[in-house]
Amino acid sequence: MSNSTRSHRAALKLLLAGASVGILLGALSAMSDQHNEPYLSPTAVASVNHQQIRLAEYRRALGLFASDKREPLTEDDRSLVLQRLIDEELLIQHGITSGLIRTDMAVRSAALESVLAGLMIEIEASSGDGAEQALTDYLAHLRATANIEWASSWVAP
Amino acid sequence: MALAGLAIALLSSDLNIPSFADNHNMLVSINQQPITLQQLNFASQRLTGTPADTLTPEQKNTIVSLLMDEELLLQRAELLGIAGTDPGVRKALARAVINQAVANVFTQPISPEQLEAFYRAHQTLFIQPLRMTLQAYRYTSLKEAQLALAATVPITDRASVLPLSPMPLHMLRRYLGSALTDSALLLRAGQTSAPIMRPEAVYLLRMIAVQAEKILPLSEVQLQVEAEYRRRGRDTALDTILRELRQQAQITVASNNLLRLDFE
Repeated sequence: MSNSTRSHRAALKLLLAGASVGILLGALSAMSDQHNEPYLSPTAVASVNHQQIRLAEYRRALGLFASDKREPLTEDDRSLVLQRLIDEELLIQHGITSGLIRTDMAVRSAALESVLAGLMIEIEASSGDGAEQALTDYLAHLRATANIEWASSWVAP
Repeated sequence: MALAGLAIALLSSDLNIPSFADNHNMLVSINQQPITLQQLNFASQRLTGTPADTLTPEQKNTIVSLLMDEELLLQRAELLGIAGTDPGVRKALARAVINQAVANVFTQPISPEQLEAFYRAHQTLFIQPLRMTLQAYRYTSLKEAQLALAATVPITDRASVLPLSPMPLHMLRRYLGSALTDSALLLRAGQTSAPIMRPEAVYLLRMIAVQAEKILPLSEVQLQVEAEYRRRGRDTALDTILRELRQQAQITVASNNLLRLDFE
């Protein structure tokens, strides 16, 4: 047997060994991925894209469902309620990523109302009176810290 | 290599990258979020009832300033995650996504062929149920009821406990209860029952007319067929978007937590 044939065989063995190690590592990785579920706290019933659905929310939904039903809730009912909560979460996440907070008037209004209500509580707790002036000051502060760029075609105030 | 990459990045920062400033549609950007001419027009229409081009520069600036404040507040809302946590916003978001998903179903016209095919495939939904015009007379004793039955003249000394209009079976059951309704089902039009003893009274039932169950023609139920067609289209559109979202999502159910809940 020539030296060249021997070296080819050695190379093939090495390749085979490498491939085997690769397959083994791939299989191990796939197995470990199966256990790589997102962490769910004891107060969660499900997670949708890492957003947890809380046990309290599930209980509340079950309560609402039960109040509409004369018979006791079944396993199918509980599963249905959970699936509806997952659907709702999916729709909400889709709405957020689609930018509906800016483009849909109802969502925009609801978000503005919510943020303003929160701000007013903070303002009233800290200053007590002059809430409108405090809000104006706060907006001025937001403007001062924001990166604002005017279009060249627009005559900015 | 790393140094070369850094150098390219530093040089690139001075390049004139196309931005909002080159787009005539954008008026101002706040933390890279544009406020556009369309937004100005829309807000102008809402606030003043006229398009923005009819306003003075001061008026336009007032509206743009308002939109800027709104944008800053929306950015704060995003920072606080309000969209995902506030129940009112969540509800509005879910409703908006559903409305978007099913919008086509409600705007697309339905061709006569589509409607006809749907009607034929779902005819059982458009059935007029069996209806009966029945009179029920209540007596305090069997003898009284027997005398009324024996008389050859119509019963005029008392009012029927049922209205004189055709009623579907479920309504009759609600008025009369199951036992009397079952007795009524045995009567033909024009026939009067024998006295029927019930714990609370004795009854005579007189069947005035029976309208058999029938499939209503499309011409009579066109509006109901259209509504059902769209309702099902809406359900299908919603199912489709939810299926797509589920396919792209990572969903984990905490089975252990659910089991614990069930045993509580």
